[in-house]
Amino acid sequence: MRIPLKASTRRGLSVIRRLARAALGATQARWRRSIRVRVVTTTLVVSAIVVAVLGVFLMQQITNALLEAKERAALLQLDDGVGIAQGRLATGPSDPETLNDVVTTLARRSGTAGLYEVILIDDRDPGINGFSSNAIKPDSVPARLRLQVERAPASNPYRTYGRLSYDDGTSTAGLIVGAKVNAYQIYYLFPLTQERQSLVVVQRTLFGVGAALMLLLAAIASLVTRQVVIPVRLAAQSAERLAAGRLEERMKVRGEDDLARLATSFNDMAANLQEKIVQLEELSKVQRQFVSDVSHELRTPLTTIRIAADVLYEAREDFDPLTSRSAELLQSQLERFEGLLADLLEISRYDAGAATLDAESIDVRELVLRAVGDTEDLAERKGSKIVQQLPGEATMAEVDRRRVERILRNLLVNAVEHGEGKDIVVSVAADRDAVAIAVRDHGCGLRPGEAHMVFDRFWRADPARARTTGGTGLGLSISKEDARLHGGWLQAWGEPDQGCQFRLSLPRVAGAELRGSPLPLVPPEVELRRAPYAELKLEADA
Amino acid sequence: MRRGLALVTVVLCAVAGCASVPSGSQVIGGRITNHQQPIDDPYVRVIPVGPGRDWDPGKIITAFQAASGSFDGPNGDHKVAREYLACGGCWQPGISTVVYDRMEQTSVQIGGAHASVTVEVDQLGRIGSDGQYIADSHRFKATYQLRQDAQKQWRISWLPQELLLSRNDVNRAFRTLDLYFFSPDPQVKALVPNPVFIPMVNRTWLSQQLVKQLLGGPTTWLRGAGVRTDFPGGTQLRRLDISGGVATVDLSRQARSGDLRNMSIQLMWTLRQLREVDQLKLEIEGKPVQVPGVGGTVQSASVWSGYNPDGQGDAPRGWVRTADGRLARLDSSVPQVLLPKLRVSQPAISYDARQVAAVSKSGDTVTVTDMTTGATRVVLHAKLAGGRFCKPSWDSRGNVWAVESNSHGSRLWEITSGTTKIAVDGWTLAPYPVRALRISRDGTRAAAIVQMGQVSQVQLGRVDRAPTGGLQAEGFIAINSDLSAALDLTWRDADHLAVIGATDSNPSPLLYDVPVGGGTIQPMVGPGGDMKAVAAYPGAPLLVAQHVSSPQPLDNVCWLSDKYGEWKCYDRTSAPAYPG
Repeated sequence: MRIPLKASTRRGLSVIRRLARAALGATQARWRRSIRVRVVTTTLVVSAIVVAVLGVFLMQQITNALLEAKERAALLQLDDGVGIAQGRLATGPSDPETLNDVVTTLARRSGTAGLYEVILIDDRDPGINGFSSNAIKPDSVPARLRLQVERAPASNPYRTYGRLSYDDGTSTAGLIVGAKVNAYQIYYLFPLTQERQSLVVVQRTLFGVGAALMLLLAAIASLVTRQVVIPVRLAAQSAERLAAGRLEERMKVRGEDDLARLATSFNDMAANLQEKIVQLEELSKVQRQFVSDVSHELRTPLTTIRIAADVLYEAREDFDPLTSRSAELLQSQLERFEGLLADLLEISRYDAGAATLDAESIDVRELVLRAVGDTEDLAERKGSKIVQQLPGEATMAEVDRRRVERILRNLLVNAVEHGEGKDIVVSVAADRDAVAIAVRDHGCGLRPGEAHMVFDRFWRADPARARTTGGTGLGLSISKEDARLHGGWLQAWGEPDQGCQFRLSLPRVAGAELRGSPLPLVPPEVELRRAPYAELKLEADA
Repeated sequence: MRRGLALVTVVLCAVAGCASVPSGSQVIGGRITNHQQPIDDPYVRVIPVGPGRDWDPGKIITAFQAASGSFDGPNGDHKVAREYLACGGCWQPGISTVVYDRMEQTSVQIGGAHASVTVEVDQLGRIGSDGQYIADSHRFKATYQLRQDAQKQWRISWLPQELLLSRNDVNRAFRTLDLYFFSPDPQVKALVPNPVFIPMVNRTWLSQQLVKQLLGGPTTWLRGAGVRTDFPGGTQLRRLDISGGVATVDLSRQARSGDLRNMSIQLMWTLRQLREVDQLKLEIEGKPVQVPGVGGTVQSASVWSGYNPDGQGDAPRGWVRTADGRLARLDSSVPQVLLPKLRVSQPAISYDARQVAAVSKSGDTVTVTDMTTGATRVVLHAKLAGGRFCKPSWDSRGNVWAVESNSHGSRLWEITSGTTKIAVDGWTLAPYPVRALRISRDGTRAAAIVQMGQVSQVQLGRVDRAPTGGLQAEGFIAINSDLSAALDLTWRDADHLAVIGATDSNPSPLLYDVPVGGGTIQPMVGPGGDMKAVAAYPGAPLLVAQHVSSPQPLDNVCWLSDKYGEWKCYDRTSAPAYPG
């Protein structure tokens, strides 16, 4: 059952979750993006494992060595004590006083530091089981050791580890050694306090050294990675700049290592690229110049031909029908040729970067009306009607009148030519920053992917279709360049059997950046029609 | 390749260097352990065991005796020994302890499920419940009643309330420590030691018991001397913690009304006998108190060194009597005669070294001579028939004490301010001849050699004011049963005597160190001749007068050089004396 949470709690939880997710995401991102983070982390983990294993091993070795030394010393002490005790107890059974003296002597030999305690076991006297020194409790001698010592031949030492307990209730780990002397058992009990202190010191040192070592390794890894990563990063930056078109970009070559080789080859590559690109640019400049020159050179003879053709055309009624027809053909093709030449000149001006914007504040509606007026004749001939959807108030924008008129004319002519005699809709809309003009036809439309190709030079929707219609094949390209000169967009949309729509979006102030368009690229009725289909499809899936 | 080889060599050298211990270094001083551990001065305990199966009554009693020599259990209440008893609470051995030398079971009677065992011991003395030892040598008889329990095992059903311990048990299980109290005379700045026997249950218990006994006041015997304690009545020890040389004493709230300074002096002097204590921190109800005259709450032992019971300052020069009867000071290798006209016998020097009290050659008068003027006055004549004075004794107030005795009894005299003689009324040793009498430096105690029949015994008495206002010397107790023929004695320090005497086992006179608390006497190496008299002073070499018969008969005074531990003698001298 879910316990309903208070809204504030839920909000807090969600904040925490979001923060955690963000932190995780940031970490993951860092992990993915930075070689350095990966290398340093890996080094830390690996060195931690190595240091831990090494530390445990070392600790074990030191403990063993310490305890071994302690055992050896303990047995020597016991030997010593057993010798003394044997000397005193050699003459048969001894009275408690002698035993007391022996234990006192042995305990005194322990020194002021209290190196060990002595227990002497004598189980022949009633009431007394032996003597012990200081506060040690007799039960500190483990039963297993007593059993072993009792059974063993005299003077055979045994040792074991156990807990030494004292009268005041404290206890400590200790080493217990024992041997039999005549009928008595002598035990030396060594507290391992010193050894434990030493081990604690060693352990602390190991911890410190291990941590320092890990950090040192991580720092070294970070340093080394830095040395490798920085040149790689520089190379990446150089490559980015090169890709952005700064062909003069080169890497610094330092030393003779692998990175220097990378830099050298990068520089070679950049030099080659630059050379090729400059070559191509020059070639294209020469070509453009050639086209421009040809166009210019053709104009003079064409003018002459045009005058001659005009004379012939005006006198065509005097000719025989065949010659008259030829004169008419000559006239019409000459017009086409002129148009083509004008377009070629215009486009070569764009290519040369010589086109300039001559902006003035104009009511866009006026331009549309004029363009529609120019095209209405053609539309009537084709059986199309141009429907205008213009806003009620003036739609002012700083535009180049001539260029916008040309764009509109091109779009309208294009729409009439491909409109298949159906209606053509011209709509205008504006918002604070931009104005947009859309020209919609209901012709055969565009196949997927063709929406971009329509602006290519001499491109035709149907290659099989000959150049029967009037266009030069450069109109939309020039329009696109005109729109771009304004800082605007010219975009096309089309779907098979749905027709096309071209949308021109222009900033209201010349030179301003365009962020959006007041009109949709896809006509609203198409958008609306899509929705029910989507619903149906979903239901079918369910 | 070569670089790699060099690197490997360097690494190997470094590793080899790490694994070696130094074979040479600077000389470094200091202890490895930063403080003496309380473990030093080891003590030994017996490991008691409970009764075995099917032991007969005699064995049960023997085993019980052995087991009761152990102060085991949390408060030293003989936990194991109680397993021999049929009743848990019928034995309260705290009342007194009988110290014996030899034990024998004289009779074992078994009648059905009951038995009785009689034990006879040669008693040496008793330790009271307050820790005071009184030597009292006689035969002591104890009878134990036993009965069989449900498992047919003999258990003790009735027994004497005293704890019977052999001399060795006492040596092992008890420690003699001094409690320190202030002298009844406010003029005397020295502390009076009060030796007590405390069972060595364990180190912590010993120190706690020591402080508890100090809070409880002096032993019954010394209380009669009127020593002062500055702990208000009812003061309890809340906590005693000894660590790192600092003893923290936490007293109950009653201590607030006491003099912090005097309490600290008593505590410090009492606790500093324990090796592990160097400093004292006094707390009342858990809060550290600032004692006037001490910076900080931790007092070091040296702050109160002015209250040394042995006095302070440099040790004085010794004095001897030359062969022609003149008084000479031991300044250099030859004794220096200061007053050529003065003839003395048995001189006693005052503490300020200005006056000398002496006994005439015939022994029936006491004279006091002013050393600066040389004027001699006869201050005392013997009153008893055939009375002879023994060597007079000075106390630190400048009074002379002299005792005259004949074969039937003795009288004690006090000469105040060098002129007025007072017969001391409360002299409990009046029925006995007294061979020697020395007053302790603090003036509260008197050590005497008392002739009791054939035995000349060392006894310790109190010097105090009688309810009537007069001085009295009473409460004499024997402090040792071993010395049966004492010749001379002197105070070595506040709680030890040096005695020339003989024991039953060794009839030739030896020099003994005798603790006044009743602990074991220790023979000391003497100069080798026939010892007659002894003089001592804290911190000064022991002076012993002896008679040597070879190479020629000669009296000399010898002193123990503490540098080489050998005796050096001044020929043709006798009657050694230090101030006192």
